[in-house]
Amino acid sequence: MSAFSNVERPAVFPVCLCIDVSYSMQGPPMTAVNDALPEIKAAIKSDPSTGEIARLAVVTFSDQADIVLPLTDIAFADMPVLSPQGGTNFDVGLRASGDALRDGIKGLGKGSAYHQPVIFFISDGEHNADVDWTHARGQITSKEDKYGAQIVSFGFGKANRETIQQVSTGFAFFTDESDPGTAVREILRTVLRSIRTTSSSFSSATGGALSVPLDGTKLTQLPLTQHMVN
Amino acid sequence: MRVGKFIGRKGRHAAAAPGHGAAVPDTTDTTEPGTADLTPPGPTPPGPTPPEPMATAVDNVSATDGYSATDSHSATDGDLATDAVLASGTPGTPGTPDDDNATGTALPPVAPPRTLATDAPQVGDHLQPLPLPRLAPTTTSLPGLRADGGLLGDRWLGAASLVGQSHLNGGSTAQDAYQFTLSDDGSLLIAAVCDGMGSRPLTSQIGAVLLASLLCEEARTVTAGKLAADPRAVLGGILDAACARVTQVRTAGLPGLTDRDLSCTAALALLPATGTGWAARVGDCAVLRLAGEAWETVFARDGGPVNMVSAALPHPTPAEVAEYAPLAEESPGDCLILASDGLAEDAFGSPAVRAWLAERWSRPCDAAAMADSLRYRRRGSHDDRTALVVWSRQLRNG
Repeated sequence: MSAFSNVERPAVFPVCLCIDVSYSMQGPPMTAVNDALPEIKAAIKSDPSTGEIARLAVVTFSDQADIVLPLTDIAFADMPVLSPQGGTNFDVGLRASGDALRDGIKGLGKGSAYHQPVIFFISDGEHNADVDWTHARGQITSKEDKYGAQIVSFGFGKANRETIQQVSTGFAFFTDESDPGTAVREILRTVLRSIRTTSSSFSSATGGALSVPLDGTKLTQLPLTQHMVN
Repeated sequence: MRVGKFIGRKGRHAAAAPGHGAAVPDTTDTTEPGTADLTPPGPTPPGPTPPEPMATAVDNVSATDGYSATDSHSATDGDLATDAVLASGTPGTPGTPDDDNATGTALPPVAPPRTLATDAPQVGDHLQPLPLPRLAPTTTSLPGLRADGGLLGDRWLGAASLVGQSHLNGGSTAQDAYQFTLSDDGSLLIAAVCDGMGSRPLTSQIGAVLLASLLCEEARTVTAGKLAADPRAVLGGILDAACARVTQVRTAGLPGLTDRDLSCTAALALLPATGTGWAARVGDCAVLRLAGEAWETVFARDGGPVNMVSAALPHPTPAEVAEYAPLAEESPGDCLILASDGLAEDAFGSPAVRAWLAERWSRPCDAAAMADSLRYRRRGSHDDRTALVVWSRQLRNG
């Protein structure tokens, strides 16, 4: 296959929001998510250095997972409205996120250039399904897989700090903000900043280092665990 | 899936925007080869056709094409998007430690800057105006634009390096560098392109400039005969010696830095007067060939994410991580191109960009024309762009 594409294929930055929509998210947290998604779209769309590169998928998980927005040019995305349901199963959420990214990148066409995908994982609770979610995490973040993603994880409410650490591939955050709506808003603001700063860092052969600016937030970065160091 | 498309050109043939002055005369077509002030210096025969100059414009400010009329700080309060902008100071590099502009203060609108007309294409759907550029306050920043064009030995070499929009958004320095020279005995043209690592935004440009210069310096003692005898050993030796000298310079003059702070990718080419040349690269700088409108890549393009590279320099064993390839003697009119990945990815991924560059580089270019060739706007292309083009020796009218 020729290295030169016969159709226009701009490089993209695949991003997936993996959002816990279990029943504990009902009320202010879910309202904050639904308010924030269109604002994230507007913010990315208005910034060419981000909007021309970032492609966004949204995955929800509870007892089951749904790809509510496949990997999409955000300028043309209809942002979903989420609603709470069921329990908390990290495994299905992570697997669906990996699927959304893989299918979305493949859908760009052969030879399409893309930056390493990133999953932003957000949960307010503990995994309570009878399945080991760490296998899914290992698969979707494999360095041997050309679609292997990085995971930035955020926890609040009743989420377990150690588990949130384990989900991430390097960046894990927790907020003790007492108002869950405010916590969600702060997390999504940080997600937006990370998408923008990372998109803007794709400026050299080896640019694109994932960054997650925390300025002005009450988020606490959790320390690296041994599996991240390795 | 959405794909971009060639949506047109702008420039000297475009009607002037109201209030922005008149369209300027087309100067390109009236400037024929041999015009006194454009004739390249040095010996004429058997030199190449005089270079293609760039058309200029005095007041063709279709400057609103290209830039937003407001500074990127401008924003209104109230929503998540604004929160991000205000908290960061700029959408480009919010909150990064090197962002001296992160004042959190919305600035008043600024008039778009005057610019020169160009025929460079705009590629892709729904291209938005770009935010006003921000200069890098870094004291070791590179020029936002460097360009050269002229004879080196008996070959025409044109080169240009243009800072990427993502740097201009965030006020950070360009990170690409190029260098060229002749071997001491004049038997080899030597060219190098280096691309500093984005993960070292304050220092990698130093490494790129340093390595490009030292690669050329170390290669000067090579002869065409030595290259032909054992090309991989010669190229590997140059890489080893250049990296060792980078480390020496760093230790002596930049003791606060590590080799990783100076990391960059590199492409190096050694071209004899006749016969087979050779190229080496580390990382994803590209070496391309252009014959008419036909493009080839000398090194295979890596699969997988484009922001993950296989190797960078300095490296403990540079010769071992490098790739090597012969460069068959070119046909008349062909070009050999060393490119940073910012340009190479556009060439790989965009037929419109390839068509534009092939047309631009169908003749040797002077410095201004080389710079103009990189001024296309492509959706999603915000990286630094560097191209060093060597034209074959036999390109000549009549």
